[in-house]
Amino acid sequence: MRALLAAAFLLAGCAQQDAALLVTFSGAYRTPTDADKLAIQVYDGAAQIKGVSFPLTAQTPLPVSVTFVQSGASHARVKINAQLTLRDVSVVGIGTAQVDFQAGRTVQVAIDLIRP
Amino acid sequence: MQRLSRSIRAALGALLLAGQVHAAAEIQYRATNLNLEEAKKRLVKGTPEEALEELKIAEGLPGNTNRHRAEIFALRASALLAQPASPERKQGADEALVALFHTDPEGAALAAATAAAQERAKALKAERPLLLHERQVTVRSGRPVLLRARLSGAQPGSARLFAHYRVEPDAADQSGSDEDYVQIPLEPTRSGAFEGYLRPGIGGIPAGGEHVVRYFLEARSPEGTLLDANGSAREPIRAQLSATRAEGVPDTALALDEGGRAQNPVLPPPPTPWYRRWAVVGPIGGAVVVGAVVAVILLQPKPQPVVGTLGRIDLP
Repeated sequence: MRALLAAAFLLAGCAQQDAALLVTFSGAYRTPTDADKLAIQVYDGAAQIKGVSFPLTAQTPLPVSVTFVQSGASHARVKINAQLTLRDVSVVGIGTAQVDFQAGRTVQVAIDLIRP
Repeated sequence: MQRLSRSIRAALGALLLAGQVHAAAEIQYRATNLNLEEAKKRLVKGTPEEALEELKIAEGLPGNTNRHRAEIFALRASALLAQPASPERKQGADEALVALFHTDPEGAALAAATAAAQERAKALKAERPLLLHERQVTVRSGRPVLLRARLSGAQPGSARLFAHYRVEPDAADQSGSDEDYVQIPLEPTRSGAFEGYLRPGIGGIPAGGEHVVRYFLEARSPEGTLLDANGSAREPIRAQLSATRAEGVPDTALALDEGGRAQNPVLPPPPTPWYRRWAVVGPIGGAVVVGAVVAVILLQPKPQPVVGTLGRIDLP
């Protein structure tokens, strides 16, 4: 009985988190005057698997960060493209990165946004 | 110390048939009577007072055979006559010797008595009528039971003998009214003895099975005066009617105070019900424990990654 409980505790300690990326976007932009939207596309090879955008306000100045969690299919390597836009008219900043997921860990990625 | 020893023997003796006589239909006899043996030693040592004390306890023990009783009476008479003479002691000795002859008509137990007691017994037998009867111990049920007696010191035709009997109810308290006794006359024979039969299925005698019959005998003059009685309604002779026991010989067993074991030993515990057996409880319990451990492992919350300032996105 004690052995079983010990094994249970040991196994309980072995539970792993999902693989994740903590991506930090930075750049010399004032929000929302220089840029008011951040659009992000995630690709697995040539296929886009996710596309999201966030409005940027005075309360969300750069740098900002987003966590991508591999909670569905396994993606060994992904490519992340980011765009800063102003009033949905002009692209004011871009950045990109390719990164590998690591099982049970959160990989920190920094993408510096620059003017195109 | 001696008193304590006596008490212990008596207490153990009392336990004997408390456990053994659980039904009136069965008589249990002891093999030896330790208090009686002790009384013999005390008498030889020259301490008749202590011997009388031992005899009092010995007589009170359950399961005494006729031989035990006869020796008790012989020793009591001896102990009383060994003390300084007094009318009470003489009367007590006479009563003990009469009881001895009632129990042991041949007087075989007098061998254990002192010379004074033997001499007094001889004189007593000559000077008063004694109803002598070989007491029944075990008789075969389903057959006629012969009761035979003779009257010593009496002229032929000058006395009439009667047997009074009843069968004990099959109850632990052996209760019943003394008026339930049935009286039958014993017929004189050519030899001068008297005989009578208790016949199965007649007069309350069972046709078979295990029973205890109580009886006593009386000798009366033609005018009805009681000459002598062997047993009484209060202290009857008890005989075992048995379909299985050997006839005439009492089955003796070691009593508790002799190192014997109770006839009804402690009942073994009931068998463990199936739902409490390890063969059932073990696997089920093991499965429950393993299931609980697996559930704990599977249901434990995963560690969550740090969430960015804009939030968390789950990838498909």
